Amino acid sequence: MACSRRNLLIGAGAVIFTTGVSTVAIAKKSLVATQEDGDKRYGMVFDETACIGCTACTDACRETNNVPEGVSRLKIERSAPMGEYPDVDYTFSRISCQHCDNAPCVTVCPTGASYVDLKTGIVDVHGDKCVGCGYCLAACPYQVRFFHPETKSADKCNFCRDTNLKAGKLPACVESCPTNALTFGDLNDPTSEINKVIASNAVYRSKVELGTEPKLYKVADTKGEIKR
Amino acid sequence: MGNVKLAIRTTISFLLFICIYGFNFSVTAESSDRQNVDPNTDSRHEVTFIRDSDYACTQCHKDSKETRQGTHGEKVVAEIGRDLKCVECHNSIGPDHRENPSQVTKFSAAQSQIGTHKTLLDFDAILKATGNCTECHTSERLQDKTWVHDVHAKKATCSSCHVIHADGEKEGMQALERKAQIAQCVDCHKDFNLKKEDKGE
Repeated sequence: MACSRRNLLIGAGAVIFTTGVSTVAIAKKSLVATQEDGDKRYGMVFDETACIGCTACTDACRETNNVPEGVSRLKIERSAPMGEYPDVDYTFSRISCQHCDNAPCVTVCPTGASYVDLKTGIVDVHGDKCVGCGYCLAACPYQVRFFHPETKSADKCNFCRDTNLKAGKLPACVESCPTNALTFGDLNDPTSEINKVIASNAVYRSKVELGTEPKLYKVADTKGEIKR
Repeated sequence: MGNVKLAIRTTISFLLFICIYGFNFSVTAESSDRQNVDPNTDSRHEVTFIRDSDYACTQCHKDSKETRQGTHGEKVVAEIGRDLKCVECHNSIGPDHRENPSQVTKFSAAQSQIGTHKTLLDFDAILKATGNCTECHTSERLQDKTWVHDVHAKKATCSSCHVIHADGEKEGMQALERKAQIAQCVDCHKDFNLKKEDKGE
């Protein structure tokens, strides 16, 4: 008896086991740091010690991505003045999408318009699918999402995915920064510039305690209040 | 006889009355004149200096008084009530000024960080150089205008961004659009970075 019941069950079990394991492995590939499949995890480092607050990046962003006045994908926030003349100083912080691996805006979206692109790790919005409920705007702990006045859909930074990145260039903010305060690159690639910057600086990410796993790293400046 | 006496008495009293009446008029006229005099348009002779202290300067620096109008002209007069003299900014002019002009306080672009084509000065030298300007353009006023003044207080002289003798219209940073102003930031700071990279820092 070549095909006994026992053999059939063993065979079926083996098939289920192997396919199950392989699907788990494939599903996990987007999250683990791996290069074999060519998937990327784009991230950015904002060096607060290098930023001079010139806002060349916000202008470049606006132009490149056609962001209308009144809303913005990227803001540079300046602190109140610290110290006395002639030693007055300021700190600058970048307000933009943190491209969370575990993005609350994606989790709450009822239509699937908000999504994480598994090939790049970029959090983006399908404009056509967005119904404008505003749930993602409320869910974002970093308060960086807004309704685009023309398309009426939720919008935010997508690392210039449709513009500069598509054209093989760096994001507009990175290109325009005169002090190289921004580093953009693939977090999955251990030899990338961004990983070197992260390894050689004291970096922090905002609101990590929420478990959002943001991919915007910041090099803390030593001025003013303690940052984490 | 009685009539004549009466006539004389009446005439005298009439004349007396006219005299008092007339005097009264002149007194009221005088006092009303006084009241109408405006204290501002006093007809007193205005005393001015005979010697123009800028005369000697403008013999050689011919256009300097005119080229100053855009920045330190009418606005200054409106603010402090008189025109600025050359020596108020360009002091330490010695007797051998023509032979040794380096003593004179001059205003030129300089910064504390190494750039490709920029003059380098240390913090103290920059503060000394801007001291003349900050007497009127106080740190509070500068901060009100823009925060950029604060961060460059020790790092660049005023002339690095501003044209002090602007001819008529404003020149330099103030004449630029917001975008062009940002381009100025980028210009210098990009240069620093290139310099740093050159040195391998």
